[in-house]
Amino acid sequence: METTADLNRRVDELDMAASRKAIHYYPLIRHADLCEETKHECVEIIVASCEKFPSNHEAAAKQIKETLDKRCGPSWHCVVVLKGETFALEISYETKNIIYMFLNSNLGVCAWKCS
Amino acid sequence: MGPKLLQKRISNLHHKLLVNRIRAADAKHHESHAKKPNDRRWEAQNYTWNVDDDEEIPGTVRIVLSAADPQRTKNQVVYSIPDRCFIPLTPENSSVELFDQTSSSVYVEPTAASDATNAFNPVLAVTDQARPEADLTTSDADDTVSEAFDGDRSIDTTFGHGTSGGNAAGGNNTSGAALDTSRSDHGPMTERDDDPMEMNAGVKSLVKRKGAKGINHFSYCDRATQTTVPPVRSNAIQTEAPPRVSFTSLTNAWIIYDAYHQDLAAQQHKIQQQALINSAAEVVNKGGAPSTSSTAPVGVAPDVSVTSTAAPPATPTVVFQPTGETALSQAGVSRLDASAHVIERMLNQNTYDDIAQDFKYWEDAADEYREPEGTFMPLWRFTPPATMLRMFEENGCMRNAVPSHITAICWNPHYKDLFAIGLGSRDNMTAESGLVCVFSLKSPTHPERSAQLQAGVSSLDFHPEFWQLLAVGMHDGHVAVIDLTVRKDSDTFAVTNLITYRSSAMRGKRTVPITQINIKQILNHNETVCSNRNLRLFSISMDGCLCLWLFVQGELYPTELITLPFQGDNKLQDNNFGTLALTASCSCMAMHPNNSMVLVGTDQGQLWPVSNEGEILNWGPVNAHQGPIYTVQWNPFHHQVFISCGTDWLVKIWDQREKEALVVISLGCCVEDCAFSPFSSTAFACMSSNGKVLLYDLNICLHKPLCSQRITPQRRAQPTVLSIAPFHPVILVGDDKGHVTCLKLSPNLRKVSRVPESSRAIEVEMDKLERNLQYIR
Repeated sequence: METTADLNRRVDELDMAASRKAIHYYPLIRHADLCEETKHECVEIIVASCEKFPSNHEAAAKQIKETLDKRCGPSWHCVVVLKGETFALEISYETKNIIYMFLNSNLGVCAWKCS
Repeated sequence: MGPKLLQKRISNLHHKLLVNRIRAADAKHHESHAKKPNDRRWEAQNYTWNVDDDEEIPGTVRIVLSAADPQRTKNQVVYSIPDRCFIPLTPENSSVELFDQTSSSVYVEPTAASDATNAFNPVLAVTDQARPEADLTTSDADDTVSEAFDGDRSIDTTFGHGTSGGNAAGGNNTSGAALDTSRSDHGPMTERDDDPMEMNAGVKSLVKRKGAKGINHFSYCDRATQTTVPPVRSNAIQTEAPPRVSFTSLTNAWIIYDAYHQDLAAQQHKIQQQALINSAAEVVNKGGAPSTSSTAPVGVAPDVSVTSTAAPPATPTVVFQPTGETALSQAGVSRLDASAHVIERMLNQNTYDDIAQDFKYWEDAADEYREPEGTFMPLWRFTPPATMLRMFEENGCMRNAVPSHITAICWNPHYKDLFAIGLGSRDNMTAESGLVCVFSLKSPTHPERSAQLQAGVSSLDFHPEFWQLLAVGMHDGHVAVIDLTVRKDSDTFAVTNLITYRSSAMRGKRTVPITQINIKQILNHNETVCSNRNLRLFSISMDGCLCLWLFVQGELYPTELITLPFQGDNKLQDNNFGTLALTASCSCMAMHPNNSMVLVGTDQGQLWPVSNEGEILNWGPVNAHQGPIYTVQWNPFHHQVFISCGTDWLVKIWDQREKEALVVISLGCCVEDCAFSPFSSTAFACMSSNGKVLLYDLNICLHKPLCSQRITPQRRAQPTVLSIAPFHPVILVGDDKGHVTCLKLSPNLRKVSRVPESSRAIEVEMDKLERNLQYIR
């Protein structure tokens, strides 16, 4: 038999949990050594691509790669992974040419340049 | 000139020779033909001449050279016992192998379509015609190698070599006798137009030439010339590879989740910090409420100083900025200044710990045995930093050194440990620069604030209510008000910018030195509040003028209240040229405790009571001294009693109701300064020019000081200013070397009369003074 205090505490905990589960939609840059202007451009490209192909991540990655190739020169590589999936990276990239960011709380995107 | 064709079987390596057409003339000269090397080969074969010698030769004789052996028996039989009859024997292979040659030449089988287009192609035509007649070749016609040659022409052999040598170029012509490749020989025919480059591939080029023009391919001559092959050079430039960095990361759902949470936490932290900074800045901006009063003693007291709590009611000046990248930004400098200040105070607290302990706790036990006498105990010695005294730069030029006369000491009415000293010169003409230092008893080594002025300081006064305002009178006639809390960010360490309000020459500054200045308390009950909210200063100057300075809209405006006339030995008044309005030279001033009047002392020895409106009160003037009056001061308890001292070696205590002085004390030398004690109405201190400080108490002894002590060495320094602290039992003595000595009064010197519960302390003190004065009268 739970007392009222216990119930209140549980409600509080649930509220806290609910608040913790809030999804944040802003892009969170995890690692980027691009210059500030290019970084903004890359973030825009990635966000636009991932919004254009919300379920088809191969297409999103393809578009990111192609757009970045056009904007910043070849050759870029891109990994897009959905929530629940995991990817690990061990890459070599040309300096000042990587962006590693999270999106929508469930999307991890890493794009780097190595030609 | 008929063509001869040699067909050679490859599969079983049998040589079959076909002679298609031979002219009759050739037949007649058979012997001569046989002598040719090629014909000699034919002789080795079995051949048959079918020549009708009897008949006329019609022109063309057909001779068939057959591989069949004419001498061979064709009707051999063998008796078969089981059959009991003869059966013919199957003829065995009668051919004899004479010549065997392995060749790589492949016969090109023309197609029907190409036959039609190349109708007169002799090779193909002959082949087609010869095929039905050459019965021996019927089974093997597909697998043939064509090798055309003319015995007379060297081109044949050349061509043959070309054929064998073109194997590599002709993709379809594969060397090797055992290979059956003829079925793919249609390829060259079909691609003859597409492949013009393969001219030296023998068969293909042959077919191509046939297809193109139908010329005689045997008379075709291949001509080529070889030029020098330009050497191929590889030319490359190697650049530095773009630098690469390796990057390792792992991504999964909970890493993303954690990253977002960390980012959120960081953002919230930032917001909170910003809010804290904003609230702190607001508190600082709103400050100035004088509620934080500290009664704790100096030295062990919590830090109370101008920097910590005092803030002007007018404008905020300290702006907190969030720490940025630049370490020495303006905010950074002010922070550095603040921390350096704290460290300095800590050092001072350690260094002067014994003095602080003495200041607070030490009481001279010997006082019990020598009552009523007491002693002064020297504590600290305050000195403006030498760097401020020597030279300073103003407007790009170096000013003279600050004269080291201490001309004024003023205690802050709110901060019990804070006092200001002013440096100037007694010689008013030479004081070209001045210095104001605000010291705290807690840090004797360095002033809390300091301001260098363009003229010597003659007088200082703190505002009784807005205690951060310090009025300064200067030798050049200027009046300035210093706001001690103003610290401009751009020049935190510059001292000259502390002056906030200042008189200007355009607004009527005095042309003669200001001798004393006094800030009037703004409360005046008889007038409306609005007209009195302005800052008011009273100043006297050496031209005998009493001025009221009003602070209006950032400027100080003077109003001349009265010009005191000259009184004394004026020889000029008696001459025949009329009277010359000479003025007195004011030397000192005392504001009445209830702000109703000002008492002005002159160099001629008169005391002028002047009301606030500039009218000389009816009980003045008083011829007080024979020479210049140095100091006049009202009794803090009894508002009708004042003290004065002058160069005539005398200290006089007056009652404004009496024409004559009540108490006259001669010190035997010039009296530099005197002051009533804030503890007792009957006690006063005076200071002679020979370096002695004397403390009298009328209640105890009139003729003998309770304490007479030499403070400054007689020949090295001369005391100039005396000031008794209003809250602490200490006296400050300034000398003409820039030193201010702090003296602690022993218990006998600061006896406070017992206050009965039924009466107030002021009344008790007034009664005490009145009683003593009654005895004297």
